[in-house]
Amino acid sequence: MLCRVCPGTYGINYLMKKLLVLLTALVLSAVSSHTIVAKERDTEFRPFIAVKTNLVYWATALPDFNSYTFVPNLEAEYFFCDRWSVAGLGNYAKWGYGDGKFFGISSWSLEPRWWIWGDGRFNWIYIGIYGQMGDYDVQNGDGGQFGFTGPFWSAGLSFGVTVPFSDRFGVEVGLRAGYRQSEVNGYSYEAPEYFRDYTETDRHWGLTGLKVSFYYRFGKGSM
Amino acid sequence: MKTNIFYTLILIGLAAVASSCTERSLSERPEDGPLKISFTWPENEEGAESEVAGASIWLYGSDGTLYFSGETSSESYEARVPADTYIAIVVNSDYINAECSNAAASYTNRINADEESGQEGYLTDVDKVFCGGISGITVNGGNKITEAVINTVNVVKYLHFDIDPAYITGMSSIDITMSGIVPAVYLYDGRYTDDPTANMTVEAIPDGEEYYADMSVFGYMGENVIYATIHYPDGSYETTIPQDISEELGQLPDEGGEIDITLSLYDGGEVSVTVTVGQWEKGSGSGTIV
Repeated sequence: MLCRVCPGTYGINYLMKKLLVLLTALVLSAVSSHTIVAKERDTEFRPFIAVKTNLVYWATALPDFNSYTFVPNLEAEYFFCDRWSVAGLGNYAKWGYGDGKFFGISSWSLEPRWWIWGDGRFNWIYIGIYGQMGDYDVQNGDGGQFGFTGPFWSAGLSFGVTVPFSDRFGVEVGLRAGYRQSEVNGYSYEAPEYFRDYTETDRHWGLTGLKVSFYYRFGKGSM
Repeated sequence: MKTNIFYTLILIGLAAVASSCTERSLSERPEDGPLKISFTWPENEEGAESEVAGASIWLYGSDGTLYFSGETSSESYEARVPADTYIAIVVNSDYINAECSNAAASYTNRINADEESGQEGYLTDVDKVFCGGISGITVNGGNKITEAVINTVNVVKYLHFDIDPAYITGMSSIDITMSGIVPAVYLYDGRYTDDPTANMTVEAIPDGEEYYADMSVFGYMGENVIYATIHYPDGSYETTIPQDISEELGQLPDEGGEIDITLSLYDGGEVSVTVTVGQWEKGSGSGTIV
């Protein structure tokens, strides 16, 4: 349960409100744009695969709405049958970031998506389901004397909007919500060993992911 | 199409490999942990810490039972011990004319002054007895060292007698005897035990036309009666009239001081005696848990 290990928690309500305003604007923009896009189907770009990286993770904000350190991440999405895609996402970090703090996370997830417009261009709105699993290790100060580690998994629904800058470049904003279960092994460092102090399970229902990703798409079409 | 699927699977595979590799491998906490108890010894006359040959230590668990007793270095005792809260008691191992006893219980672990050979109720000079104890030493299972320091105190008091026999001549030696001598103290804090007090006799040493004598004892209490015994070359002797000086001794401050008394012989002669009580060691004999 990542959410208990760090001070500096974001204001979740504030973030949620900002996000909803943004998504509403994007949805309205998508609806108005769809009519124009449909007229250009014959010559339009058809993506096969996209690679992305989530800027939120690079900006040190994690799904538990705590800030630790930057987390490199990479996502690949394969598009098929005009309105279906499946995205695979991995992220990894394992390093200290000063004052005895250490953060490690490794996880991967799969996310089948259904695109509303179904026009083969895979722009604007999608919904999906996802499954995620991984593990983590957090030492949140105190000279690295104490920490939490364990595996976790998560599953739920996803919703997002892509905004194309061009056929290939664009930005994707999305949310994940559902269930996340983490095994929390609290430990103490007493050189040279790390001793388990307790083990408990953290269960979380609610928002489980946030993304603002840049993407680049490979495909056939206008270019 | 197949190429794209291939690359997608490669990426997903890499992500899968990268996962499950940050969870830290943890050890189960052991049931024992390291303990280090350091000792400080009282200052000697030169102001430096007294040199001792070694130390005897007793370690009692939270249930009061003796977990360990034995010899250790004069600096410290170090060992892995079961997780518990301990009481530790220490005394230097090169104490003089004394014996430790009743070690089974922490607070009644004591040191007794040796009895004078063949003289029941009379004690010998004790010396160099530094002891102390500390409670609440909590050791947790693991590798984190629990450190404690015991600041020992010197539980021996010194009485110096300057004796002026004045006109008494022809004597071969002179002894000073005093009652109310404390026979034993508790090692934990240097308190007197409830044992009945004893007597001590010391032989005076000539110093010009006068004599001096020294007593080193755990303390004195109750009725402190003092008298001198004058020995002559023909084997005869005479004693002065016993004199209770407990009130004068009781009025002395901890810093010590002097008492001037006159011991009278039964035939009317007098022996002037100045009793100097040295400064008593201050401190509780306890220490700190780091």
